Amino acid sequence: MAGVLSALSITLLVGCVPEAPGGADDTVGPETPGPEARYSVQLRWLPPETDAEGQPLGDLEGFRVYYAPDSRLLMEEGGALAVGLEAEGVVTGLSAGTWQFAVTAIDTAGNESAASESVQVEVGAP
Amino acid sequence: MTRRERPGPNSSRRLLLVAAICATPLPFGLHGDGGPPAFDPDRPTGLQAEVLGPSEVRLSWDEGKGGSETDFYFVYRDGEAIAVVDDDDNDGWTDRGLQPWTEYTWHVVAFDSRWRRSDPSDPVTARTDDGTPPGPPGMVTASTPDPFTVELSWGPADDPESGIDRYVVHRDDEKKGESEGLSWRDESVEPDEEYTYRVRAINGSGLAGDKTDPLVVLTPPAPDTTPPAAPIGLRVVRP
Repeated sequence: MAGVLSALSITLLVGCVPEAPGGADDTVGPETPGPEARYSVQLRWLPPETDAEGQPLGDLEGFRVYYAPDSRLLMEEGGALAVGLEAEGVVTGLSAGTWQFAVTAIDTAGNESAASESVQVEVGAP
Repeated sequence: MTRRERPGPNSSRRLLLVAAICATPLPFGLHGDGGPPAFDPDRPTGLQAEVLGPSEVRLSWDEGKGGSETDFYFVYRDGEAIAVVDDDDNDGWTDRGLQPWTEYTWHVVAFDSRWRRSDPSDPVTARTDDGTPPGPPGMVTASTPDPFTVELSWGPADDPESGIDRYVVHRDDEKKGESEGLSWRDESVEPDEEYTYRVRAINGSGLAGDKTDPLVVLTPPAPDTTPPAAPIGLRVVRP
């Protein structure tokens, strides 16, 4: 019982929650439920107001959230999650450990921005 | 050589001869079908036809090759004697009043002063030019598969004489291309620009017809290749 409380307090500190299967707060759910994939992370960011050349941006279509255990894998071999125009997203199905996150913006022509600065999150660590 | 119609000391004799030849069947066969054997003069050589237009063809043949006995020549068009030409000023002879886009065959026979005839020269055949330009092509339509391409197509033009040889495409009153078919691709356009196209037909005789009415084409805007700026302020929040 003490271990569960400890894990909960850490996840609250870093903004992560364990996904209790069947729990009341589980509104997203892991894609592949399993013992190692039971955490989700909610992220928020500020959308760009210009394009890469500084012109006003009028064709923003959405964002893509990248995540990987290692920042070197983040943009190429990590997972990617497309989200809409809301400047926030929830990555689910994460196993416990260190995760890197970054986000890009996509316009209606399919052009993708450079990645934001990444953030590192300890997920489910005791 | 000069046309025999020019007044000269022997014109009355030659005119009589022309009248005789033109008004009656040829006195002896042109192609060896009877008649006296040809001794002198030698048969003319090097007969050539140069088309000068829809109604004129210039004929020439080798100078002085008719032999020393040659006094004048008969020119035949499609087997019919049409002119007498002296052998004193050999600069050819022009057949006038011909029909446009029509094929004719000429040959020449040399005569000596005693009206003895040579064998006929080798024949020469030529087609007069087309005298009328083709009509305009049918309606021109355009599509813009991408901002850098305009595809034009049009209906066929008509030319009953020499037919259509090719089409010429003008863009903004400047010739931009040619096509033997009914379409043409302009790959030198810029995005988001207006271009005016007209097409005209060229017939088999090289005559250009009227241009089509102008067709204005607006190319699509350039594709957006500039990505958004990167999002900022990424942070983790509670769910």
